[in-house]
Amino acid sequence: MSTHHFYDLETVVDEVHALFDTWTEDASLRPALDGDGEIVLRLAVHEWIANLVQHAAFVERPPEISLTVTVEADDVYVEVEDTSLGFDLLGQLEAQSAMLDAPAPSERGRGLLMLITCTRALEYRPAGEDRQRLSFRLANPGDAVFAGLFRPADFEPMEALIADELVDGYLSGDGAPPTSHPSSR
Amino acid sequence: MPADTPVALPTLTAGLPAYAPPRAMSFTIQKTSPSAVVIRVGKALDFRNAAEFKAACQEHARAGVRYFVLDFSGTGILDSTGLGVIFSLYRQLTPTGGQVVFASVSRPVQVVVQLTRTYKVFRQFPTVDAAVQAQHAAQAARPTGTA
Repeated sequence: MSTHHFYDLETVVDEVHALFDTWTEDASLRPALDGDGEIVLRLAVHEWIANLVQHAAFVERPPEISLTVTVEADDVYVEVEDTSLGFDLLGQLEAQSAMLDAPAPSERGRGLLMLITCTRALEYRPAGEDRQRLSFRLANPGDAVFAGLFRPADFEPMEALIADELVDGYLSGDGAPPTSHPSSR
Repeated sequence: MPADTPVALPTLTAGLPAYAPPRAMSFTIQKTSPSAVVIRVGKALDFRNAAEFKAACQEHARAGVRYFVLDFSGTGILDSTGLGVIFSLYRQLTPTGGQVVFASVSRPVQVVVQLTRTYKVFRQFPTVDAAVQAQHAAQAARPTGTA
């Protein structure tokens, strides 16, 4: 699939969902993802875009978010580049994970946890001057992949979510590059 | 800057105005009894309209509503923030015997509910009418004066 560019932070969420609507209609993500897999991919991208829209600092360059989804045999490979200054993803993940243990956890702040639990080989790194790149792979979801993110007392404890390493403030997934890195530009 | 000076990563929103979402309210609220409302969630319940949704729910809760039917027919997006405010409402209501129930759940919402296992918390009904009738039946079975 080609790379799609978005420039308006107020409309990017609707534009991304409109793009997913066309992919669903055209079955563009098949056979790698089934219907539920498409929904989870849409949610994963949504959560990252939401994070960028709400928290990223676009100060050096005009806002631009680029999305590339490559359909492979058993999963999809996703790259999201942006022109923000970037941020401490691992620190945010740790804060979100700690928040879940609070007596009255906030209704906000689970988006990155959702993202990391439904993806693999997630990486977040600088991508050239004044650009950041999130990349991950996503397959059809396993059962209850998000279990533990919302948990009344009778919910099962959340398993450790963060087993990744920090490299220069950025998150490196499993230490190995994805099996393919299609260029997004 | 000295070579050994650590370079701090930028703070997420330091110096920037707080995120102000465009008005994205897509939900409508209909009162079906003094203690019950049906909320047609609409296209999305996400980070853009979650605060507005929460405020509206709290206003009704303060006015005595204890039974919230969330109509998810046609809802394409329920994100982590949207589900978070529903949980917040749930926590607010349960000490006083209130309930949040789901009706006409769309597939995107159903996937989120299944993968988070929150179906254990929020009872689901195939239609809004079925959810409303269930509350009427529960009220009829209770002593007068309870929600």
